Formats: sequence, structure tokens, C-alpha cells
Amino acid sequence: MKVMLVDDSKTMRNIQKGILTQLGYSDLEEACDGLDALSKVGAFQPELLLVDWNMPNMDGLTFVKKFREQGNKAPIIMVTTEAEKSRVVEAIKAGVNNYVVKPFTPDLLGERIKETLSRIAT
Amino acid sequence: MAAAAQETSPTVAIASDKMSAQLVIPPGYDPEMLTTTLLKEIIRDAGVEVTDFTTQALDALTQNKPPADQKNTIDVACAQPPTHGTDGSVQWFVDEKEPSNPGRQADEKPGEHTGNGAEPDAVSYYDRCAFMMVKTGDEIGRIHPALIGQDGRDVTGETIPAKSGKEVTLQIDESIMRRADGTLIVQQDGVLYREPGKARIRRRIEIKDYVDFSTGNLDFDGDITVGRGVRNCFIVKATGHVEVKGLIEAATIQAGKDLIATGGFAGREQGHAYVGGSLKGKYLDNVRGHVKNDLCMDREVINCELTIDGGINLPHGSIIGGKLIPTGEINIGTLGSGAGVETNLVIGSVPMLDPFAEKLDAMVRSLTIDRDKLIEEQDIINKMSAKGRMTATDKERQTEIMFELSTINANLQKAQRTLDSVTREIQKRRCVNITIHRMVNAGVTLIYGHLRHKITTEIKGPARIYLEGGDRLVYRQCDAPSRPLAQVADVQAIRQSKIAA
Repeated sequence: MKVMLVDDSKTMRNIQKGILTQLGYSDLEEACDGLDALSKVGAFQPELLLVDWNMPNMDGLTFVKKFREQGNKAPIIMVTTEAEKSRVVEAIKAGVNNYVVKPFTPDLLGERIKETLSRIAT
Repeated sequence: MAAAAQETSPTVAIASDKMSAQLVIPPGYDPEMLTTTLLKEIIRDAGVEVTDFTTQALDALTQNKPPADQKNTIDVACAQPPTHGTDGSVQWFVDEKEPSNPGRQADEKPGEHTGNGAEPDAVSYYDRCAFMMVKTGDEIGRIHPALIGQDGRDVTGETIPAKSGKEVTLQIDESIMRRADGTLIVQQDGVLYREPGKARIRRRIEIKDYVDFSTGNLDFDGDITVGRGVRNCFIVKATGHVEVKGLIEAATIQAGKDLIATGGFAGREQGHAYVGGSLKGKYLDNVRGHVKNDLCMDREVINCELTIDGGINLPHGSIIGGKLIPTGEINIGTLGSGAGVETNLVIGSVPMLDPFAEKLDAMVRSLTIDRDKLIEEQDIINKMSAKGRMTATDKERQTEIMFELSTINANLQKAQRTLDSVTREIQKRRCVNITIHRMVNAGVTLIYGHLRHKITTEIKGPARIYLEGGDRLVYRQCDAPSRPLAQVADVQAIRQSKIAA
């Protein structure tokens, strides 16, 4: 499965890469902000995206909206420090499928991914 | 009248061996009478076969008629000599190559002849092996068949028989295969032995004399037996047993199985023994190395540094000086000497596993330190979180810590499990049981764990030294009760034992 990681922090992307590799996902692409991600989704065609909210150039929410406007239906999990309920609702309205709040454990991220994919499948 | 006519007629002279014939034309014979037809008749009448050679000779004669006033002699027949056959032979490819140099990793010992030892292409005579080492599949020679030969023909047309060649006989066994074209192929690794009429490959080198410049260093897949000794600086390596009936000097012996030093091993601090089996023999003097099984000597082991994965068996011998690290039981005549020579015996260790356990222990401690640092940092962030002062950066750092902790914990668990398993194995193999038949002299040091027991009062044999209560060294003479070894030894701590005894 192709997974795209969108986060301005290289460290966070490395952590997510490590977790995903342990879970068996090896086809990964990285983007450092929303703009970068938009330029890569056409060629990469991700089947799952992990997106941070607060990023320079284009934040995660704007990216999600534009991604959905293009007709892309791949599941998106928001991985962010934003934990307020209103923020969560806003993200879901924009087209996010699931939400993980930092800090998170590797197990928690793994669970969210499985949960998201099984929901999509049903 | 007829006799007078014969004297003036051409005649044919045949050589006594019938290999040639000549036409003799007497002086005064009319050259006009010399016709090819007439001359051929004369030649045939003489019993000589007329061949192309004859015709050519006669044509030349009739075209260039010789002067009539002198005797003329012309070769008119030449025999075809026979081509005799050749005997079969064996061509040995191995003789056409450079002598083998199996000791390619030989130490850089100076050769005798190389004027300047710094020359890059200098030859080491230690490496020039006199034995022909071969490997399975090597083509070592070819049997050439005998050639029959071709008969000849003398001037009278009779056959001169040719002699036929004799086939070569070469006796080989299953170690050498002969292909249909006569090529000889090696069927097993070993050394090629050749005698007249015989060849075979053996997995054993037998040297009647010394291992020296006549043999070069040896590196052999099989057993090696040396009838006399091994000279200084030479290297003998074998995957099988090595037996040396004479003295081993300051040489290096590497045996995949047992090493038998019947004549002793006088290493002079340059001798090395690496033995995959047991090391047996007369004595060892200044030898370093490793023995995978037992050390069994008839006499002394002097100033040696050896690690022995088995036990030591010298019931009539002595260990004097040096340092021995056995794993198994020790059965010895005398330990140390009356002169108080420092003799070290490390007991209760498992040299094969102890270093590995130490590394694992260090790894576990290092991982634990890293883990504790991360937990400490995590606690600080958690406290800030409880006070509502956690920033986005803190949250990210918190995630990083969780990830790193997860990895460290997994590695720590693995390392600890392995360490526990190795420690259990060490406990199983650890053996402290020394049987002394004659004496333990003062000056002998027994190192057990982190304690050094230097014997201050001699212990007369028969006696035993062993562990009591799991960790206390005691000694016992004959039927007397056991006593702490500390009573006759000066005990000092040498280092903190990292692995529980």
C-alpha cells in the first residue's frame, strides 16, 4: 500500500516511517508541507495519507480540502497536536477520516491506521 | 663370348641391407643403347622393384647420357624405411606448473636468498611447499597411447616390418579418474603421490624427516604426520590431525583435530598451537594458543599461555609458570615449583562464553542508562503537561520519546534474554575441580571470578580443590575435612565480577 507522510518535521516523518515499516508498509513518500504534497500526489497516487495540521506554505487542513476537491478519495489520518473538539470537527468536515493527537505511541498510530482502513473497506 | 658380353653390359648392384640399388654402366658401353625400357628390364632381372624413383632416375640418365669412356654409377632404387611405433607415456601437467604454494597466508618470515627483504617480489622459502596439493576436478595429466608404426619396403619389394610401441601401465585407484581421452582427473582433495607405474591422491601427508625448507610451510586438507620435527618459524596447518614424532620448535601448528606432540613443543615464546581437538604429547614450553578439547601432557607445561575449552590432564606432570585458562576439570601432578615461580590458573571460567556475556552485560547496562534518561525527560514533559504548559514542540518531543523508548525496550528485552541464556550456559559448564597428586607450591595463583588466591603455604597431595556452597573455594587433603583455601592463600579482589558466579 502506498502511504504519503505530510509533516514539516523531519523527525516526525522519520518516526512515522519507522512505525509504518514495522507494520509492513514499505512504499512511502514524504512531503514537507501541503504544497509539496499536492505536487506529488498526482505521480505517487497514495492510498493512505498521514497529514500534520500546522505546516508552512500550506497547512494540513487546506491541503485536505484541495485534495478532496480534486476528487481523491484516499483515506486521510490527521496527526497533529491540535486536540480541541472544534478543530476535530473542522477536520472531519474537510474530509479527514481519522485523527491522532500528539504525543502518540507507535501502537496507537498502528491502531488508528488499521481502524481507518477497515472502516474504508466496509 | 657370353662372358665377354656380360662384362660390357650394365649391371645392378644391390646394397647388402637392400636399402638401395645402383645401376653400373661399364666404360665403353654404347650410350645409344641406354634406353629406359632396356634398363628397366635389366633392373627387374636383378630382382629390384621398379618404382617411380627408378623411372625418374632412368629418364634423367637417358636424357643426359653419360660419357662412354668411364664407368658410371646411378642410384636407381631407394628403400622405404619403416616408421617404428612409439611407446605410450604419461604427461604430468603438474610437472609443467610452478610448485604449489599452499602457505599463502604464511607470516612474512625472511627467505634465505632474497638479498633485499624489502623487494616486493621476494620469495619466501618458508612458503615453497614440496608437496603437490591437488583439488577435486583438477586435471593432473594425460596418458598418451602407444603408436603402432608403419612398415617399410626394401628395394626388392619385400616388407621391412616396423616395431610397435608398448602401452604404458599406470595403476590408479578411485582417487583419480581416467577419461576416455586419457586425461587424469582428481576425485578428491589431497596430495598427489607418484611412484613408477602408480599414482594416487592421499588425504594424508607423511613427512619422514623435518618440516623445514625442504618441505616449506604446509596447509593441507587432511592429516599430517611428521617423522622428525618442525623447525623454527615454520607453519603447519591441517584440517585433520597433526602428529609430530620429534620436537616442535618455535613454530605454529594449526590442527583441525588433535595435535600430538610426541617429542614435545619448545616454543621459545614464538610457538603457537591452535587445536580443534585435544593437545597431547610429551611437554610444552613457552607455547601460546587455544585448545578446543583437552590438554594432556606426559611431563611439564612451562610458561605457556593457553585457553583450553576442555580439561587439563597431567597426572604425572607439572604446570610451572605461565597462565592457563581451562573450562573443565584439572588433574595434575604438581602445580607451580619449589622456587615459587608465578603460575596462574584461571578456574571456573568458560572462555568461549565469558567475553560474550560481558559484552551483553555492557549492552544491557548501556541500554538501561539510555532508557532511564528518556524516562526522566518524559517525566519532565508530563509534569509540564499536567500544569497545562505543554507546547506543540513538547508534544512532538513526547512522541519522539515514546518511539525511542519503544525501540530501546525491545532491544533491552532481547539483550537481557540472550544474556540470561548465556549465563545459564556458563553456569552449566563452569567447573572447579582440581585434583593434585603431589603438590601445590607457594606462588601458584588461582583466579576464580573476581578473586585472586595466591597460595602462600604449599598443599601436599593427594589433594583436591573445589567449590563448596556454590562459591567458596576449599581444599581437602586425603580424608581430612575440607578447609577454606583462604587459610593457605592470600585472597585479593581483582575486578568487580559483572557476571554472577
